[in-house]
Amino acid sequence: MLKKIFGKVSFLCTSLFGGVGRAPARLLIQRANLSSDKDSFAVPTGGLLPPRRHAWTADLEDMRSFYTVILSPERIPVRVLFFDDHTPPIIGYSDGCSSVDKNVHGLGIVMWDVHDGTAASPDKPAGSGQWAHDACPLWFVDRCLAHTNKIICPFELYASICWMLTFRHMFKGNRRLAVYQDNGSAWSLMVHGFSDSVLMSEGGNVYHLVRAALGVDKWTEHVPSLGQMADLPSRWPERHSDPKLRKHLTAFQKLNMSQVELVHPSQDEWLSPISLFDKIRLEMQ
Amino acid sequence: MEKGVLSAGFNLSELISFVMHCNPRDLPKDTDGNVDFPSRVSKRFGPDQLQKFRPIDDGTSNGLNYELILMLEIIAPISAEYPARVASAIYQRFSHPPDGSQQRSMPEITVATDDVDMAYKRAPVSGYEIIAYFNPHVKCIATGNMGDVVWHVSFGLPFGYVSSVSSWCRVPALMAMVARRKFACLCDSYIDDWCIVDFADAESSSQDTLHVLHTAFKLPLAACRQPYCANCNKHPLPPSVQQRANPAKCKRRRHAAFADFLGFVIDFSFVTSTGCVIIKPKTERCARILSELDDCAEALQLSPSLAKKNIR
Repeated sequence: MLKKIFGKVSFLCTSLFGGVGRAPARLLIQRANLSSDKDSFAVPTGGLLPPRRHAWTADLEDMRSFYTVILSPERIPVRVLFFDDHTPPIIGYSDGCSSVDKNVHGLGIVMWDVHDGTAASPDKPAGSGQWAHDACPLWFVDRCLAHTNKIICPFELYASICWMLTFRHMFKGNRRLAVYQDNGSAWSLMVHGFSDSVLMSEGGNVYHLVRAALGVDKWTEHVPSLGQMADLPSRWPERHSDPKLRKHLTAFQKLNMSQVELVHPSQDEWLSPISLFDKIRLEMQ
Repeated sequence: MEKGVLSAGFNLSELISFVMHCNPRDLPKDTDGNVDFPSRVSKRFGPDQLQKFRPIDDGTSNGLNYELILMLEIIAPISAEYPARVASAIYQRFSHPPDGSQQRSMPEITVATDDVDMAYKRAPVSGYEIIAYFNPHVKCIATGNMGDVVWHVSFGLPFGYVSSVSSWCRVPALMAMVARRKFACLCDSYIDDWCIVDFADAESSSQDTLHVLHTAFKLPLAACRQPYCANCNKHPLPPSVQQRANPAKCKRRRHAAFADFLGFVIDFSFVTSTGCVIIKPKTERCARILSELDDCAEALQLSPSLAKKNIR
């Protein structure tokens, strides 16, 4: 039954918006891969009770609640494919920077739009861009440290969510998105929406719900760290007094890139991403 | 048996004569004197598919799935996006003609679906499968008591083997190529489900062509073609005829602005006005998934073995 439900959910979700709903299905596949009923225990009245590990847990109930909401007729993500789509995609870079020892956790995002009407010049390609940086909120840092010491992967994913929230107004006109990510785990989750890690699954679920709410046709590509444009702003909280970094950031100014304020998801929205999904959907109407 | 995909029931002696074309006494034997009959035994199970049981051979437990696995998947199945991608290609062709001629407005596009009747069982294969079951109402020749094993020979691909999927998919892949190149049909298949995109003015000519092609290949589509069937008729039927029920086996859906394909509703009604196709999941499908999760929650448990039992 589990594998059957997992198969149905995965097929349904991946056919629409890639990863929507795949992360919560992690519980189904983990349960289906448990070995057997060998540790059933006898009860005094006779017979066997199923093992406790086969019980319907609070996590499974949360998963059911999630699907009950997202698969309801008024919320189910609908995909619209437009034909006359010659506009080049918006290009996005997002990056996270973390140093647990120094207690510095930075986020950086960069957006470039070739199609905003600004002509190319000898010093600058066509289009214009924006960038933003900020420190990662403490609630998210604490949440990451509670799960793992390697917190860079969830940071990278968090930065990509911030990217979509910050530049969400750009997708009202049915624009496509080409987004670049240098972290392999985050990149995989941004494509497939599935991870064994609890924390990454949470982030993946938020990411794909935001994407579905925006209705954006997105392509995610891996980029080496040296080509990651958002690397510089992500290091801002750590090295903002570093003259070398300042010099590099002037390159952004030469490209006429403007700085904007980075938009975070709230802790409540992170824990209950359906509310974020509803909020963005309302904004996009 | 009526459709010719399964032989008549045999006893063991008749089966050997039928399959080996020889007397059971003359069967080849190995050095220990046992009959040398190269075969692989598999269990059979039947998952419940909406009040219907589909017999599935357990290709995992007998190792055949492992042995026959392909290192390279050569068939890429289409998704529910397929009709939208075809419509998009038509749009691009009309709005940006490659020969530089004048732009034309987007024509009305429709989508139809069809299903191959007993696809696996009619697939052209060189081998065969032997099916056995115990029938308590048959008299055993050897003992004279009631109850004996009945044997059938199946000439198609068995369900449950991974290799059956890729073997079958070669057939519609070839047919799609023929239909596209020789008859200009915009069609493709997901396993045995066909999706046909056509111009509304063409009045289902692509679907009719595919039907003729399938019939010529001796792989008929699951379309009854009865005069009173609303699925098979190109034009709306009068109300008096509509009241008659459609045959249960008819899976044809004629060209329309809406189509159900792979569990999704494909909406072509905005193609000419807005230039877009809308894809949304069928509400019944979502409800079914939720119902299954609710059943698990109500039972307050879900074990892997229960899962396997329910699957098989």
